[in-house]
Amino acid sequence: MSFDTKMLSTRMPREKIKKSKLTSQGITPYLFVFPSFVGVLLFMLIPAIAVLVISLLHWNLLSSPSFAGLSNYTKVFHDPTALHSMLITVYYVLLNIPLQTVLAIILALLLNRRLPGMAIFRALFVIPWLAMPVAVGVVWQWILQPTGMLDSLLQVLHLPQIDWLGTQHWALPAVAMVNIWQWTGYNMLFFLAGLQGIPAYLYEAAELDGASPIRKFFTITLPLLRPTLLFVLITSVIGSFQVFDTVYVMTQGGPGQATNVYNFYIFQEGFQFFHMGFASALSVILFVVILLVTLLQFAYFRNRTTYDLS
Amino acid sequence: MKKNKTWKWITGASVLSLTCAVTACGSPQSSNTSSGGGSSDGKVVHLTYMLWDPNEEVGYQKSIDVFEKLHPNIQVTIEQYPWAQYWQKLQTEMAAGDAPDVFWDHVTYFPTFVQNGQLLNLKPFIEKDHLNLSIYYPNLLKQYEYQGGIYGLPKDWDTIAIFYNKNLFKKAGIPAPNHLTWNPQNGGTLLQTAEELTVDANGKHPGQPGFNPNDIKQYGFFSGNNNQVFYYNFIAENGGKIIYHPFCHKMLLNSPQSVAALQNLVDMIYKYHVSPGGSDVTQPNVGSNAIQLFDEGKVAMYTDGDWDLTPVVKGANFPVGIAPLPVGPDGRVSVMNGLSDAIYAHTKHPHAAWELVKWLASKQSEKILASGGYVWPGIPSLAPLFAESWAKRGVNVTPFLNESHGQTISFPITTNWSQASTAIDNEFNLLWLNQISAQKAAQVAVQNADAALSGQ
Repeated sequence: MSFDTKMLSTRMPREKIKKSKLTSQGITPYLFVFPSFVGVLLFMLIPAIAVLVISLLHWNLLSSPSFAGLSNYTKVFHDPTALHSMLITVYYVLLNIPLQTVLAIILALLLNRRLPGMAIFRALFVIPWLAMPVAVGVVWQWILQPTGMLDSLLQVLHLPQIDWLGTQHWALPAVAMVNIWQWTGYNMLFFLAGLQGIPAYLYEAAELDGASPIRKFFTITLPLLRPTLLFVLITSVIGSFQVFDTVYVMTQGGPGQATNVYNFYIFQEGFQFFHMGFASALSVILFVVILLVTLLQFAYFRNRTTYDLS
Repeated sequence: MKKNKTWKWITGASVLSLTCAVTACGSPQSSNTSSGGGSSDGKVVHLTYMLWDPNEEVGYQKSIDVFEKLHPNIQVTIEQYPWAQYWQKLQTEMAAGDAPDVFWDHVTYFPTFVQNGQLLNLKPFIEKDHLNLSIYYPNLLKQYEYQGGIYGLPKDWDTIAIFYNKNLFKKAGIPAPNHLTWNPQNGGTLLQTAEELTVDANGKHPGQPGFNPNDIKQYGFFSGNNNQVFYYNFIAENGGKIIYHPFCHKMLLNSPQSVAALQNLVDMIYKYHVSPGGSDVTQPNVGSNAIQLFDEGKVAMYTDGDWDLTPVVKGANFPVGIAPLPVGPDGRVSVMNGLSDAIYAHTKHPHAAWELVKWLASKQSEKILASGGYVWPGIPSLAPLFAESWAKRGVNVTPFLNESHGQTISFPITTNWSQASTAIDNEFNLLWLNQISAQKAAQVAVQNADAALSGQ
């Protein structure tokens, strides 16, 4: 049987696990966890606490910091650029996530067939994810620029040419498109794993009852993919709120403020203008926003049934 | 010297710096007593030397090799980071109290560093060693002076000239662009030449009947949102100024002379059709795009600084010509800039660092760099070496040199310049995308830049 159902069927009562692990294995499990814990502590927890502290300071990195109270936060709430950045980041998430997720599911369905050479196709769609985001940004910038490949192609086809990165309303969709291109294959992998965890007998039973492919998708596939969907949506929404590298390489927030997404604004304030306190306050607020969005997603999925196939 | 390629990125730095932040508040002031002169006690001193130009790094390594032979007790490691991340790295390392002992300094960052006490005053060392400062360009020497102190010695300089594709000029039967003129009313012979070199798919030039501006195969010129290598020069040639005076918080980009110059430059794209436009000519990628289009033969001439000679000539499969900037209403004016080597105020080895800086600004070292064709030397008498090196490669670089003896302007020297220039770049992107007028762009840019300069 498949991965998911095995996990479910061998589940033990919780107390039993706790007791047996603690007593019989002693310190060993903790030793295994230790290296990752150190990594998380050094590169996640301590910097996160540092950001909280710095957000209460005026600090330009060069002279000694001074206490600022909550003034950095007050400044964020009165800063039209911060608001603009948050709004276009939400717009970016909406451009990015639905399309990317739907495409990933469709790709997973297509690649879940047993056909000769399928492994090659699966690998092909994952390759963009393996590329460096910065390299991806550079190459796509070459393709999208007015003298670039895409516009030459459009010209040959006698279609109107668009200055993708030089037009306010196209720049952000262009960046979103590049990120969809890069990340769809990666998300597809999770859906593919999820699909393979759905027992074949459910489809056989549905076919006996004469269910159409569409019916099968909506009543079997999608409900059983829900845990995968939850994981993919939560990680990709968080990643999407934090979009930075492609913007940094392709547009630097421009033209005008069209792609000045929140994380780029943080970067610019912190590492180009050296307003460390203000940038930290911006980061803390982004953290709160992402936390709220993630909790909402959890709440949404909690109210939906998940099927225990054990 | 300015940004070559802006596509490097630092995520690591953010994490790094924030962890550093925890320790930075109590960062060790250089209470270290080791004199580090590197000669008497026999201990080997390790110095770190940071720079941003990958092409010049090769030349500097040659110079350092000689330095290490002369000073067996000093070892120098070069760290090269591209312009786009250089300053972030430097400033975060300063915050951690752990910056490189010696690093390339630029006039646009110098004021911030010196006012925050991050640079070592070289004057006591200069006086002790009786250095003769009259061998340097006086304007370059002055750039790194602050309140009576000297914070860098001129080791090189750069000016801006026209790079042109000799094949395209020959094919069109047009003489080399050595005597061009320019004015904001009709663009002068610069615009005329650019029109003759701009060709659409049917072989027509701008102004001819049937010319199709939407299907241009070759452009005569390149007008882009690039300050040092492009529009600063034209503003100066039209009698405009960039900033009132060094260390002041008021930009002057919105004067009538500046606005007229800017408008004409943008008109080269959208009115006269002699230059590519759109996001090809805006920040962040305008610099690399210009080089790329020129090397591909799609742009016949453009303006650039001498530091780009190496990559441009290497990338071109045609002979590259260098011509002086056109003569404007106020004459021929080029931005002239020079770098210096700064010593980090909190270095553990000030004496060894001084030996290195003294070496890098010495005749011997500048000779190595100049004769390798890496950079024009900050000592004028060595200039022929650089010119000879390029002449051997078939490029006559004397226009850069002649311009350095003529009228020049310097970069704006003031604090918070990085933020101000970002504000200007953002607004001027809209100008170069033809979305707002030069008048409007200059007005908003100055307003935002002034706010940044006064620390808001």
